[in-house]
Amino acid sequence: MRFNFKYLLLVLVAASLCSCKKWEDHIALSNPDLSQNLLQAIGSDANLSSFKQLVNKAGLDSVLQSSKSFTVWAPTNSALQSVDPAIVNDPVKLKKFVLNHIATQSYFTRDAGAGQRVAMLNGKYNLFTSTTFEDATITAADKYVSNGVLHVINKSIAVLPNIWDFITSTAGQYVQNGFISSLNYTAFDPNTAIVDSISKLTGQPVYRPGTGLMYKNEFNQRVYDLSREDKQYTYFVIKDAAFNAESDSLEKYYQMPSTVSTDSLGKWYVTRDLVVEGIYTPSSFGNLQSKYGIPIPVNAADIVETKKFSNGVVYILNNLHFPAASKFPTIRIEGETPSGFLSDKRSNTNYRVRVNPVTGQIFNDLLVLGHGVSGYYSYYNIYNMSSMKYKVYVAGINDFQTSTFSENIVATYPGAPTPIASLTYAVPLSTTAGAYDEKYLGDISVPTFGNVQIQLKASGTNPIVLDYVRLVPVP
Amino acid sequence: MYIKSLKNLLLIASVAFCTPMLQAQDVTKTNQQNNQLTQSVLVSGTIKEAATGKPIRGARITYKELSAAITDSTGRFSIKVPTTTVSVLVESEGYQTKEVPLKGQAEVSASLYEDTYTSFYDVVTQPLNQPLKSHSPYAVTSVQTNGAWDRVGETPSTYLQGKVAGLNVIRRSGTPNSGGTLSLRGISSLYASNQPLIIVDGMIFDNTDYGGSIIANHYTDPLSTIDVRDIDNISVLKDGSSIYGTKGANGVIIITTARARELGTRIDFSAFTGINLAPERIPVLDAAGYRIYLSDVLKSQGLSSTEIAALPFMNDDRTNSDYFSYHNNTDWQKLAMKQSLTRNVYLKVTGGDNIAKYGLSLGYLNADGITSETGLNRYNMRFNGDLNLSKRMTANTNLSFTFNEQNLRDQGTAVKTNPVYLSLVKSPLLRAHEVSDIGAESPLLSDVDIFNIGNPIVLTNTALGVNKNYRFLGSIGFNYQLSDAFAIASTVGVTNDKVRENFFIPRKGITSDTLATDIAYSRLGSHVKSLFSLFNDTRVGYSKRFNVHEVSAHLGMRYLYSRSERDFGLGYNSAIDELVSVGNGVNALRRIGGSFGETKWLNNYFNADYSYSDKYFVSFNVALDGSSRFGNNIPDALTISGNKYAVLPSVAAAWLVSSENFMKGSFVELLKLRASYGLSGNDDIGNYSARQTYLSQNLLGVEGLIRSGFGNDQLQWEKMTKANVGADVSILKERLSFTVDAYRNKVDNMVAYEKAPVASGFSYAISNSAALSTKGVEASLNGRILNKTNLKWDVGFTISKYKSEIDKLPNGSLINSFAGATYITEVGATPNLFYGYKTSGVYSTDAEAAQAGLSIRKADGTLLPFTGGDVRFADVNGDKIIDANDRQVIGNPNPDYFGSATTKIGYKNFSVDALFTFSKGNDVYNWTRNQLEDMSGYENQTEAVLSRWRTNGQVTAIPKATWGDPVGNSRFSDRWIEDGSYMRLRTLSLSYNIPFSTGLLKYITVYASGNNLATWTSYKGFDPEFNATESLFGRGVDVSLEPQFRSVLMGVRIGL
Repeated sequence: MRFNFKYLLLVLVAASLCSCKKWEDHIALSNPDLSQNLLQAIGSDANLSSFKQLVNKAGLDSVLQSSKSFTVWAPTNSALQSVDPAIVNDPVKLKKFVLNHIATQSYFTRDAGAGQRVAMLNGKYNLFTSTTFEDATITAADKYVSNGVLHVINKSIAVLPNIWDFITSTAGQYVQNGFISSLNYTAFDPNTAIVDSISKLTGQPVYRPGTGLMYKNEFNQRVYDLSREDKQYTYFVIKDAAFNAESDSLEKYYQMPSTVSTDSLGKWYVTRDLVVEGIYTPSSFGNLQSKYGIPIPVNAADIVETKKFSNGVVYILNNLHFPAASKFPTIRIEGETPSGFLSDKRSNTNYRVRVNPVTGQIFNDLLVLGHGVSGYYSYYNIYNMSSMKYKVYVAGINDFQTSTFSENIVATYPGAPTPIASLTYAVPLSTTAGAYDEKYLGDISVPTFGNVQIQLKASGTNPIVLDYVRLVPVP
Repeated sequence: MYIKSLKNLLLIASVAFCTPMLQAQDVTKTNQQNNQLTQSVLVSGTIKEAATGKPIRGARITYKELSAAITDSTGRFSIKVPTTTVSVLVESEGYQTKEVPLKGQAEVSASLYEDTYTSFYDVVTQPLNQPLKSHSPYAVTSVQTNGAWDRVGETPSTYLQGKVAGLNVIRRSGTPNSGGTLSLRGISSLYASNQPLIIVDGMIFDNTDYGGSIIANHYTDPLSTIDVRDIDNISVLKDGSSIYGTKGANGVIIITTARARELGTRIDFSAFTGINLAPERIPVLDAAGYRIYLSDVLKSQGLSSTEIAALPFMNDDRTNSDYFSYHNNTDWQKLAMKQSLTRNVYLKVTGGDNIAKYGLSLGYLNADGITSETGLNRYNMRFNGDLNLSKRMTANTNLSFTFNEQNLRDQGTAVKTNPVYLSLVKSPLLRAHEVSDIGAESPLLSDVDIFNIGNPIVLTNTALGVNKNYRFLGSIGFNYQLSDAFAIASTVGVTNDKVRENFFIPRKGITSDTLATDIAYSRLGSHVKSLFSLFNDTRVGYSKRFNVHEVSAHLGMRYLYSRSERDFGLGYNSAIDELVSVGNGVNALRRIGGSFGETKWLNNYFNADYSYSDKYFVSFNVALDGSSRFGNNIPDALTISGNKYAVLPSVAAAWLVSSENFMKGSFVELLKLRASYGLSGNDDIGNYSARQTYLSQNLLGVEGLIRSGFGNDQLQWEKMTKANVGADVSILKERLSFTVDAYRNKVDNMVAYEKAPVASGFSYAISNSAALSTKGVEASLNGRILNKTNLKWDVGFTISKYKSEIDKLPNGSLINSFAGATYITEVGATPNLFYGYKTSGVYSTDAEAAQAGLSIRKADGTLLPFTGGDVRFADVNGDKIIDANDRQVIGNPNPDYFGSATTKIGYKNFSVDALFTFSKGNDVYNWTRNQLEDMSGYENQTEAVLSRWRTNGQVTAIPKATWGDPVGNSRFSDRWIEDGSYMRLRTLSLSYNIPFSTGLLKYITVYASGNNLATWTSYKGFDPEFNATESLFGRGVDVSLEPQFRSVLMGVRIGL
């Protein structure tokens, strides 16, 4: 019986030898480089020995061997000679520096095209084109290995701070940056808070006090988050004198009971218009517009300094003045989009589509007919209305009844006992000449900055009708 | 209406019976006195043992029933014969039977081999007689199983692999009992059956799995209900099958089960146990390679690097709560396919007295599959009885019952529920079990993963799939000897077969499926199939010898009634995974369905054989077939009372040249030349295709009836014209013998789908509008290389080649699809050629691709150009757009040739048997590799994708990885067509007869045997041999079936 086993074993061994060859050719690597990982590939290039040392020193050797896809833009030995020893000797800075040359995923020059901002492992973004990497030139491109791709560049790429770092670090230097920094507030982030228990009563988590708190900044929240690395911004800093002058000039439009508030508002309304998404150079300043649609009249001659950051560019300006006319755009209230009504009269309320027979244009209006409530009104909220005088223009026609009537345009602070102003509009019959033209009703002066309600108020139980109201600021 | 026509047929048949009987009775009288030797010559000779040359004592020499002699201690005999141009028959216990031609000599000699020696003097079983093979004018191969003791777990179909030249057996899969697809002499039909007719103990054996299975890609092989050790002899009749009329076109396999040969009680017991080894793994990516591949796919999907880095499997922070769920390196193939066991016990008792003899066998087989948790339990029983009721009347009975119970799982292209497939594509990053955030493993199996791929271990361990089936086969036959020359015989038999199937796919861990109105989370099903058939064969036989002329004739009638039915119910979304039976599905989603078929076949046949001096043999057969399947308006067909009949005659002749006087002294032991020509038919044209039928149809909740096709009342059998020439040669005193056959089969009136006129409302009509012809040659060789007393070495070899060609098709070329493969059938070419795109590598740069300027047209009509890293497809029509018009023939699933080699070495009490099978030149579409290298999704891939194209300038054969594969780099092309040639050591067995002095035990033999121990192939898949469907259009497509595996068995056989 022992003989049987030996024989069988022999045959089994022979069998296993002969049948496993079939895959070998098929799965053989088409290029020997593919058997290397990035660390080995860097190590095998004598010209990258310095970079290899830095990688090891920064403790990133395990990353470059791991089973994820990476792209490495490795500076040559000569390119690394000029690196500041302070970076090399500081483990934190060194890691950031080395990671500034490594990205996850494979980026080949074929995919780069005219330029692509690539996220680096340190969170920064660098510009990669088919021939360059930031300001370095790619000398050997597209060496693919098992876990990614290796490019060799002739310059190392320093880690730049971002615009937000600049703002916080120069808060004492520039009033403008100091103001933005002062807009920090504490917020609660449930993701970082520690959950102590789940409340039996509400089923909600009970967080440990003092955890999950973080600073947020009003400016980053409301205008642009200048700490984001994946976007690019152009940010203008006005030197203190000009900045103060500009904010002071705006204060009268933001009158508040407290002067501190007024001062703050003046600064806010200057700074919010000083940042634009995207990178702009002086030659392309012509069409600059802030997030709020305000043109930014930058004069290239006023540029004192230009600073480059990882997520954009900062121009320090001697002077920048926004003409008041462009700073305060006209407020237009469409009759058919009210914020609310005095009471529910939806069966009497018509949202109409009408044609202006003079221009042939289609317009929408609001008509409330037969509501039977004396002084019935629809209202329109205007938020953060600047304290100044406004010219009031109205359009609205009577094409539904023969008897003529009037209605009132009333401006009031919400909940205030007396209105700011009330203007009467005699609604023209559609048959009268010029009935479709807008009418100038008069002016209203808003004494303090804040939210204002415009009411379209019936005279008695007469109908109300409105195409639009236009409030033209008179600074 | 049909009953009436049957009555008419019976009438005709009985008239036909009686007429020759009346005439024949006179002839009997006149020839009675010829049964004595009137004039005689005395011939003497010597009989020796072939191995040693020693004389054989006690050998029996006979000349017909006229004279006999027995050899003395020197092997000498002398016998009286009428003339010296005849042959005498030599028989001796333990030795082969041999016919010795006198060739005009008064002194002859013969050497005898042992009785298991493969020889032309073996008896072959033909439909109506059992002559020596040397007397048969047909291309017939007889397989003596000699017990097949070492072939545990084989079904008769797989047992036949490599045994018969011309018979191609393709094993369906490695699933126990799945059997093999049989095809004899190539392709004979596009849509009708290509399987030969199977006759078991004189009764037609229905070998069709009607209606398939609800367990994907499972095939219930009816032949698996026969234990190979119950089989005595299998004779394969390749031509001359016209006696079976319209069922004989694909040849006939005649299986004879074991009966008592001697009166003494004989008990054979055997027990085997063995190990099935899990297949060698396909080299799919490990976790590291997979994760890098995945990043490329995710990037091509448009995800930014930060989004990719945020995915849980990319986060390498160990404190992350998902870390342990996604940071593994699981070898799923190892988990899903495991080593398993096979056990078998078998008992056979034969014996009896001179009035009644019996053969009883009982068997139990437990064969586990290599997919975890699958396996088969088979219980089989057979009782064969032979009764001498009176001097003139004998009877025999055959009763068999087999019950199979098998645990199965989905296979093939069921990509959500095939555990073998899922074990290949499942991400190695994941685990089979749920894992906590500190890495502790739960006993619970994990759910569908982040890539929406199910858990193969849920399929093997939680899902259910059971097939239970039984088949009862019972027949009783009588033979009444009317006179010396005349006999009446009749056999009646029934087949009762039932298959029950249930499956359950749980909700947890398996990807959901989409129904018309809902999502299927859990899936449940139940299926019952039944088959009943009644068979009768009644005939009158006449046989008579006039001096050296021998005449025999048979006139008979066969009747087969068969009824099959299948009913299934499918349910979905049971409330919990513990509710597994179909009734627990949501009521609104439940689906029920089924089908049934009923058919009647009447075959009237006449056969006449004539031989002269045992040298010249002529055989004539004719069948007159009626069937419920035939249309009643067939042009030019024989009409009897309104019904159409097929008339299928054939003639065969053989000349035993070596028995002629002029061959005396030649080194040629036996030379026989054969030729046959005749018609036969294939009635597998659909039970109701000739009739006008209706189907129920639901329209907005209202049930109605619609016509289900044209009733083609001209639909007829497929007509095959068979021509065969062959030679049987044996030389050097039978040390070497071989057979060569060449044939041409021409099929006319082949069933095809013909385009129907638009106004008819149908897209096609079934008609007899195609034609095909197959030519082929086959050869087999047997020889004894060493012939010593203690050492005998036999070798055998078979090789076959065929080529089929379409002669006629109704509408141009025909395109068929199966599992993503496309086949083309065209006049002048082989019927099922792979039809796809030709490729030549990968564009190494964008510039290269731009220069070629090829594009694809997207669904919205815009062009999408090929770029660097895409596959370079051949633009056949030069329009610069790669589309369906650019397809070409890219492969042929039919082998150039196939065959087998056997070797048997006997040394003292040891014996080593080996069987090699091979197939050369057959192309395979590797669907599995297509999925494993398409690089379009999250499925795991083979290690070949490590060389995928990445950027300009890279020269590689593997294209780039792109999500969704927009330009179709992975389409059906020659990239996936592989050479499926293989040579395999199918079985190797070693047996040892333990010598001991006789006592209670007759013998003890111990065995060790191995199956599939070695396979030489360049095919990149688990195994090059598989067959997912019985259709021609599905051959050679590897759809991830359970692969064949290696197994090693040890066993013992004891005789009492």
